[in-house]
Amino acid sequence: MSDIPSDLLKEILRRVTGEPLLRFRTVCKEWRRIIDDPSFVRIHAHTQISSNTLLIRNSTTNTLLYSLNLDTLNHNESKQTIEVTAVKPFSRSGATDVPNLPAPSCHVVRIDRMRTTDSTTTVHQTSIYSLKMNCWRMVKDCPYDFPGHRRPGVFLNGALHWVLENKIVVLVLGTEDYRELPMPTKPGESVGQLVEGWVMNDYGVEKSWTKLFSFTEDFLLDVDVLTPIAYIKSKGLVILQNFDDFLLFDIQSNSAKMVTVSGLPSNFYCQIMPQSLFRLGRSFAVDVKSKAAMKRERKRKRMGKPTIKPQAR
Amino acid sequence: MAAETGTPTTLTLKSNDDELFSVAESAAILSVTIRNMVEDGCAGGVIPLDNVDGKTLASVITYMNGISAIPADEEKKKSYRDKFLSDKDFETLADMVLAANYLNMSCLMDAVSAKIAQVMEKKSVGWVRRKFGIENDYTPEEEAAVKEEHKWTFEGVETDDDN
Repeated sequence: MSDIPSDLLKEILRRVTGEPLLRFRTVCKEWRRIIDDPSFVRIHAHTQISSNTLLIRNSTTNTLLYSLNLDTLNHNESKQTIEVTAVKPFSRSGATDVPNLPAPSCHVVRIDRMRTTDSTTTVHQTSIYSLKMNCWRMVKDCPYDFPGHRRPGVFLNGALHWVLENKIVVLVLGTEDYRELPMPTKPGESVGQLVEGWVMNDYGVEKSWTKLFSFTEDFLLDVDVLTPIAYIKSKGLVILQNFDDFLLFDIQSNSAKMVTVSGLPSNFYCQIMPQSLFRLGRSFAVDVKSKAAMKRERKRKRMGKPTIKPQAR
Repeated sequence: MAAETGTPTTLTLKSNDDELFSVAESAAILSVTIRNMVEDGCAGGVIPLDNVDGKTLASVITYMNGISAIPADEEKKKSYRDKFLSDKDFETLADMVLAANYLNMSCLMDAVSAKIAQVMEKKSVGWVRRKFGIENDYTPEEEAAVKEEHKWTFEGVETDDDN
């Protein structure tokens, strides 16, 4: 049945995750052409908004990346079973493709705390790394007081999100503007080690905050380090990070268990990442830039104009 | 085609292998192709569907009836779709994606495409070629080179049996 027309084929392929698609480039030349086509790569990235791939980064050295498929975390085992799961180094094609971004980190957005020379005020300078321009670019200062040590922002709806004490700070990447989202109304006095999970059903609508679960666990040393990682709706399972372990919480049975994954660095950050087909490093974005630069160069030569920047008035 | 209250209108659909099916108009108009015919007033007699065989059309009608019986609750509709597609093999799914496209039924189209994509996740290159009826047009050298570019994606693939 080779009679699936190519527009229908693309409809199917854009729903396949990144890893198998890279394998399917081997199927035939036509499939490789479709999968490598930049417009398909974009459509694919827009389709892959949810994911079960956890991208894990060593937060001390910022060098190695690991990927972990959440399906391999087995939550049917009895409580507190230590699991050993193989973790493989992850990259588009070999380790060299991990973007060689400038130090100090792999963040594409960074927020630096700067103190004025008289030490009276602190400015939170925001820079965005542009793959197209291949450089850091300063945007608006962050109007919120960020702690010096914080987790990377969570990407959702074209924006990065950080939870601060009583609000969610949002950096909208399209407009490079900061805004904030409200947190759910604070519960009353919490007794002991109470953990609550809330979901904002309609993005940005304060009234849509809904409590998903709550539980108390005595074996948790410090509830504050507990970080939500993923909510697998179909299984009713919430995955949280607790130091270097994972806590799997089953909403239905209201039970939690710890899972340790071997082979991970101690002290890591992790985030759910959709598998996109974009290339970093020697990306086509960089190619576009150099072509544009060559064009400008040619134009300048043709016009016989010296390179003078327009003066600001 | 005036909507008469009381008795629901029934349409007769004919597959390309001459099977006839009765279906409530309210369910059949999930297909934009059929809805347009109804609105143009050319759904009086038998509606011929030249690109859909009887086996596939029977499946599609089961889906039409099932999904239109569910009130506007996206969660419930989704779980109906998941259940409806759960026992379908690849060939049936492929026929259904073509039928959904021809009948212009976006909800079925989306669900079947997603199901096929899900089935493909762990499959080998050989499986895909066989199921999609694709001839390998790489030379052995070319194929080895393309494979080498993303060798790691070939780990953990299902062994090459069918279904």
